[in-house]
Amino acid sequence: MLYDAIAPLLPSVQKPARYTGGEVNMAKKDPKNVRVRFAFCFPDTYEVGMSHLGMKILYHILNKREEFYCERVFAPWMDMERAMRENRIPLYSLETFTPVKEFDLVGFTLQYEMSYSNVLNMLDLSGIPLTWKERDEQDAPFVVCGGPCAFNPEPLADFVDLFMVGDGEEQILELCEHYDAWKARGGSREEFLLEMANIEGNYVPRFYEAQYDGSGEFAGLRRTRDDVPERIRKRCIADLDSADYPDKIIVPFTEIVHDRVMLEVARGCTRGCRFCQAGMLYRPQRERSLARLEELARKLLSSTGYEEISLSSLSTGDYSHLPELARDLMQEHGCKKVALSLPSLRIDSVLGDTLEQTQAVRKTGLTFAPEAGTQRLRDVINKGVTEQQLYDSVLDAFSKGWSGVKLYFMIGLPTETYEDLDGIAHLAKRVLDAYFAVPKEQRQKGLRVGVSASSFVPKPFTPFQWEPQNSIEELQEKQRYLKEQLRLRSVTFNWHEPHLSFLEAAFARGDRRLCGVLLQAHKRGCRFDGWTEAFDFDAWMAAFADCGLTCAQFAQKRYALDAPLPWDHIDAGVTKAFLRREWEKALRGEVSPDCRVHCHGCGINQFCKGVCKSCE
Amino acid sequence: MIAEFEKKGRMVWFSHLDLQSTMQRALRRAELPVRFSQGFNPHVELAFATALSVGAESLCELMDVELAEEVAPADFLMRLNACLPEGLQVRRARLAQEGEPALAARLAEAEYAVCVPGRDLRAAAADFLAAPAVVVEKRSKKGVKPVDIRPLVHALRCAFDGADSRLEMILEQTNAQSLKAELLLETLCAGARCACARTALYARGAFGRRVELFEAAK
Repeated sequence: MLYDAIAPLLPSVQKPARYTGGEVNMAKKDPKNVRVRFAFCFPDTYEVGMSHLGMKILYHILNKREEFYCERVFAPWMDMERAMRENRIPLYSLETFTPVKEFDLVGFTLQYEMSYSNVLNMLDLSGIPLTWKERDEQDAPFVVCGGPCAFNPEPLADFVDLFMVGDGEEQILELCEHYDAWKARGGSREEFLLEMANIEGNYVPRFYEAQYDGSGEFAGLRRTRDDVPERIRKRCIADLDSADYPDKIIVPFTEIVHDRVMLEVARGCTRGCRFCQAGMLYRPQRERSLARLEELARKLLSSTGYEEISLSSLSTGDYSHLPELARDLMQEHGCKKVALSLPSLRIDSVLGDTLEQTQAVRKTGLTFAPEAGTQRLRDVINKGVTEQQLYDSVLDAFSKGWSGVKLYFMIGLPTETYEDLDGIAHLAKRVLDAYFAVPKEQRQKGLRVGVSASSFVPKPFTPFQWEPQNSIEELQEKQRYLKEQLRLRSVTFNWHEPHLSFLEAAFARGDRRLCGVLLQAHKRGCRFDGWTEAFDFDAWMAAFADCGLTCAQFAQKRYALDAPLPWDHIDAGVTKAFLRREWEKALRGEVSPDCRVHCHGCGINQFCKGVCKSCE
Repeated sequence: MIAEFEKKGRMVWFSHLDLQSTMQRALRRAELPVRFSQGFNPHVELAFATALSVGAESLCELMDVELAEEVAPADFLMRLNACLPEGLQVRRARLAQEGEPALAARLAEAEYAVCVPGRDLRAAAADFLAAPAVVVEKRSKKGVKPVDIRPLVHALRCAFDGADSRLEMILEQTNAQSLKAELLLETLCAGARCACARTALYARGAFGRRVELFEAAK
């Protein structure tokens, strides 16, 4: 067995438990008794991938079916990769140590553009040809991709057989069922892909071709045969409450990033922040019922033994029954010392009651995301939050015993000026004021205010999709300026590497020409780009040059409003007309209130119903 | 409750810190009436006799679990094993006695069985035993310092079957001083690949007699 070849390598690598599986609740099946073997690949480390909720859901859904076996594969860290290559050990699954090449379907989840180089590297480590053309010749496994980045699939079009766009719960089962039937009856690879292309949500890039104008710029995508759809409609789970959700999840031995039970209370968001891609892609907002969540929490806590549970969604503070849920969970599980943590809390959510519930068991970090420093710019991005709300919320938190607060901002947003940066420093000072406004004997000692500024990346399917990104120099200058402004006691300032955001911007809005760049970057050894210790900016720039392109021509491109966009063939539910209206309102500094209060006609109600005004 | 468990197969690759959370979660899954610590981050009251190196097997790890209600040892063993993965199973359990000192405080020695393939180590072992002192560089958090490991080796036997050497060794393992099996092996046969398993933990009984730590309540 492959394990015997792997074990001798493990004493010399960091965190060997990443590579050996065997965890509690891992799916165990005899591969001989299953009909379809699916390798679920996460293009990052074990700790990152194992924290991903989507993988847990799809793993559960596939493995519930006796005839399918879904196994996990992660990107080995660089020390292990070296050892594997030296010893000619192919990439393998953690469940049965089966080489990835022996699977029927190899699926990658695309959570982040900067994991694309790992997708290629993992295929390479598996000995699977990188492009679908080469795989056709060798009858290698099909490579399929899903996740938010599948909404602009073009930079991976040469490498992927099939993209699954939208909610994956139903799609992944259909894929395996159709594959099973196709395998049983025998047929060409193209026949299978053609069949898939005609199921909603599936995009098969080989049936489409990109057009370029005289100057070599992207001029649209055309289908090459008329028996595939012109546009690919995303899949959408209409009833989240009845959708399958795991009642047991794998409990890793070694600590992962989110090492707890994750309860997805809702999918989607009604806030309409104009920079936020997830807020647009996961529309409409759908909630799980209180009863269902309490039942899931009970089952998950008892099957995992976890000591912490988090309520996750894009905007957990907006969940309709949040106070009741928090109260009930604490009543039922508090005696077993289970902690409740509430990530991504918005500052205008009903904090008071909920915070007290959380504190009853364990204090978790408190984070606020005003995103921009001034009211003007917050109106532009439609982050409907005021300085007073932030002040009141942190004041409340400080008086209830919190002493650490993290504030998240973005720099380089459309229309930003240095006044907006001054606003960030001003808000940090207001948080300090709030702390000192709490009487000394009431507040916790050790005030810590973390201010972090990431660089704005324009994303497809947002009102800012046409906007250029700031140049690296502009972003660096803004970071330097902010660093000066934030030299304050108890305040620490963190910023993101702008070179990485630059590359991310190119891949987020890029077209098929980036396939060549990615291949060159892979050949130049790029992988784990999201990790500072591995990121090789110069290699990437050289890869662009190899292809006669520049990163800036994609990242800093201002698309014309009427120009074809590389992702126009994907129908995410929100219409281009709506995005354009939002863009125009942004420039006027006009806000669009929450979709629960007012319908802005985004178009999603044509897809499925959710929690919004038009669906009432 | 005092429980002896094995850690072998795929289970050897996670650290002592990981073992702590893994055991806590297994105890929770088994719904055993564990006791929680007081304070900011309550955790299950659980103490191990000693840590085990990552990559090493053991048949005899010991832990002391504080329970809020009495549970029969056989019941404890059955319920916990149902919630533990293959390779990490409880072998036996007994009730802790009133006022029984901590396992770590009584631990005196650890026994190991090692197989070194393709090497005859009989002479090396004999030389080691015959030496009055064997000073080696011992790495610790504070840096490298020379240590005489000879007095820390309480037994060392080597058998050779014409192909592989099989060693049995009993090494000092107390709070104050301990010798890792890996360090002794490095001294006897630098660079050799070997499979190392801990086979017993001992306490010092009456008249300095060697008694199994699991058995030794006082």
